[in-house]
Amino acid sequence: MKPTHIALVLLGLAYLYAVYTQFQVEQKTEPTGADVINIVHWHLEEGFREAMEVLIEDFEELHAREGREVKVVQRAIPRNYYEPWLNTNLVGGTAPDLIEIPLNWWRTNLLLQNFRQIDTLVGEPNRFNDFDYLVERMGDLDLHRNLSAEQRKAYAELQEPLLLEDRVARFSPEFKEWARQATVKSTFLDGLIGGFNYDIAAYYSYPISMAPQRLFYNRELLRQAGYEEPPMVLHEFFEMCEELEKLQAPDGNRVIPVAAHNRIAFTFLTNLWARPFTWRTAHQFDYLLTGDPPFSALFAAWETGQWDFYDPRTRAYFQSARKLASYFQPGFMSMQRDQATFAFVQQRTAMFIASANDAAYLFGSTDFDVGVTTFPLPGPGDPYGWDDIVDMGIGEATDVNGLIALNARSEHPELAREFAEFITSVIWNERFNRYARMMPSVIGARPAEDLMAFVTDYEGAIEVGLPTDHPDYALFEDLFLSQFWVYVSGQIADEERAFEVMVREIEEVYGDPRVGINRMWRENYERNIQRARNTSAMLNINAAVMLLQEEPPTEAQLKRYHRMLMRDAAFLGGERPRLYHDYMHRENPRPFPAFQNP
Amino acid sequence: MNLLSMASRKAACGPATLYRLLALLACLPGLGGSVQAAEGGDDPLLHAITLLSQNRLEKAEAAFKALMEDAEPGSQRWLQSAFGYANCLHQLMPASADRINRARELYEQIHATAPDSPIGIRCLLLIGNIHDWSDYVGDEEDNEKARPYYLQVVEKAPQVTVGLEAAMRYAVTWIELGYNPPPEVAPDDWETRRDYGRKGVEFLEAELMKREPGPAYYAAWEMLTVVYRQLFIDFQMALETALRATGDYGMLHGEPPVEPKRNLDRINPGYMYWRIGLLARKLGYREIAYEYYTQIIEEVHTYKGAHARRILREMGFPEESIPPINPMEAFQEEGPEKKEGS
Repeated sequence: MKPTHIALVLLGLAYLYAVYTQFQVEQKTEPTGADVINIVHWHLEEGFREAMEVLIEDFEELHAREGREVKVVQRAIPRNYYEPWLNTNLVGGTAPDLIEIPLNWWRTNLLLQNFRQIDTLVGEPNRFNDFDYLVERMGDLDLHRNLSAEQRKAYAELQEPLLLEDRVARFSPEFKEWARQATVKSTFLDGLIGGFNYDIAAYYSYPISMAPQRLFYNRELLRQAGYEEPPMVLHEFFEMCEELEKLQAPDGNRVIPVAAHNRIAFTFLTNLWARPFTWRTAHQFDYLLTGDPPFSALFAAWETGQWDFYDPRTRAYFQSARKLASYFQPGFMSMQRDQATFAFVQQRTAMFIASANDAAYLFGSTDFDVGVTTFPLPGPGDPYGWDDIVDMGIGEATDVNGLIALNARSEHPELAREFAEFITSVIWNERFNRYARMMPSVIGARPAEDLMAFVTDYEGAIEVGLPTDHPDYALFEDLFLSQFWVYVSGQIADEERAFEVMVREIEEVYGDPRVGINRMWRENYERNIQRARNTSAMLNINAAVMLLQEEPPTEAQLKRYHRMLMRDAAFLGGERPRLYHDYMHRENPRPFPAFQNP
Repeated sequence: MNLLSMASRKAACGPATLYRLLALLACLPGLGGSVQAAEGGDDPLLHAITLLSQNRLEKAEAAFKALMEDAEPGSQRWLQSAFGYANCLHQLMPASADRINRARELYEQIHATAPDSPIGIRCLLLIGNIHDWSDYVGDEEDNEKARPYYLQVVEKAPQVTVGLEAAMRYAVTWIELGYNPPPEVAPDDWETRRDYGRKGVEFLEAELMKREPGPAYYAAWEMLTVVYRQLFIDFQMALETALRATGDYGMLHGEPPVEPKRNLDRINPGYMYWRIGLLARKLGYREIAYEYYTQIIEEVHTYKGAHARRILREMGFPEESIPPINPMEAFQEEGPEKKEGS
């Protein structure tokens, strides 16, 4: 048999298996007298689906005790095919009741047409945070029933509550009262910013976990280098890296201090690491006084000479990023996640930058003791003087994960909402994330014991004060990344020379009237006019519906109308970028670039 | 490359790829779903309204058009369906001159038929809106034409929200000239630019003084905060209007803060609180700054809370007067302690 034939046979078998699997899922959703809701997500990693099943069982049990037969069916679609699958099903009207949507998903029209705005819902308390009600209905629920015998034993040793009522008893009366009354929005650790769409000015989703990044380390290798754990002061951390480089890995090569893969290295070096160094720069140009400086501000600051790349904070950020990256494994910019993980597991690297979601795998698949810690920051005695610049840590309050939105055409909208609130209630968010080995997203929910090192740091900065990225003009991000990688890779040995080359290349493009900041202003202006027009249209549609319907407007409709009215007014016809531009150039205002033909 | 050969190649790539392929194939039976009927039961008008509320404008347009053509001109049914149809013509993108003109004609007919009805009054506002916006290529904004329509709505509905909406839109037709001056005004002629803005601001402030507070009232003050800050660079007035937007104007005169704050921006990520805190700090209103930074910590719960705590410390407030960043720290008996290492 030729290899092609073997492949065809395998493909045929695979297809039959896939159809059978799908058939089984479909069969579960067949009407059985129960109210059936579906949830779809893209998490195929170990733990997530199992944790979701635990929750589904509890949810079904709770309703059974209330005399209602409810079924929840989960479906996992691989991330690569997720959006086409979702689009097709949304258009076809066959999309599930609860749908995971990507973070910062700017598909405004899709959201508007297919998803339920949850502003009013999140302004009400979550009934699953009423602990008295829970104890009355489910107090005897065995929280350990889904665990293996070994896990049950371990939990017993830790004196983990066995029954739901035991767990509830551990909350203080003040917390119970707060949770009972708190709006859904205010129970989220991120204040539900992750579920907010700025284009529409509305909430659309509930985050079910947090995903902060951490430094995983091999305790054995660190001990060999004379350390129990990584120092939290940056220059001492660098000294440890020097010591680690002297060690020999099992493969005979020198140990590499830090493993990172392309995706996480990109986020870490260009965003997380930049936060403590540059957040003050961002606030310096917050002319709208919102606490969230607009992207255009920093570009305008460069354009008008109010800021440049040689600004001390910026310079310190770049220098420290390059120094830090010099301890990463060579070629980390093109390293895949599996390759970087493998290097750490094989003890070829002593540390690994990864997210909380990787913890379960890393703890379970290494032959050595793994520790976790936060990232070091410049401290007293810093030889480069960076400790004078860094006065806040790396903030993580907005690093959410797993945003669940409600399908506006669900046949069971209230049940779908209930499930979303169930999974984000204190008890069940804790339960879900402890099983999935992820970090909870709501206040009061405890992570698994070995994930305590991932508890979110709120006291850090999340703003990046660098003009390297603009959501309305993608060219700048591509430009910055290509130049940044050359700089941090060490291809040019002399740091000052490498920095000069990077800045020259970037500034050359910024100053180009065809593709530079001039163009960015135009794109930003046009997008803003479009946003203003869309907002005005939404306001008018909302008002028309309220006038046409027979019954008086609901509270939710009125709230939405007033919010759209505010948003519409604040856009001022979309002209804000123009004033902003002229304001930034007030010493020498020029005709707005949008009207120039370069 | 056809699907089969592509699939064969993928299948030969390895287990991970094969798994993804399997999953893709498993999705295929779900691809051909039928279009679900919109809610609305048997009543075609209700069905059309539901489509409109779901922003499915193409379908809503067809439904309203059919209803309008069947209805007796001038009847209530005709008014409703014509209004729905005109809104779809107006709002569905991409717009064209034909569609926008047709929408305007319908708005005019509806207004002529029922000039004092809520729908008729809204039609006036929407005609103003059509003049106010550039809806398609070659369509020019015409503030001069828009203003009389907005003013008519203000006169016809002085105490109704649509009246205030029209007043805000009228004000914006002037304010936006300050933001984007006409070609004959030099970009650095700030005095002329601000004069334009002043016309809008003064009109809106006078309207607001006549009205009872309500959500749209607070929204209008919030808009004025932005204009005072951005166009006039007047921090004091920006603060005063911001405090009117939250209901805390009395704090400037020693009155206690109101709870909850009135502004619509409450649900947003604390923009107004931040703005007020910052302005109050800058202008030396220490108590107001404390009130609003505290509000951020207690209500916003995010990184802004961390900044607010930092600022209060920098302002010299004692540590015990600064609230914790979330209630877990204060309330929960066994809250997770942050540990280094596993």
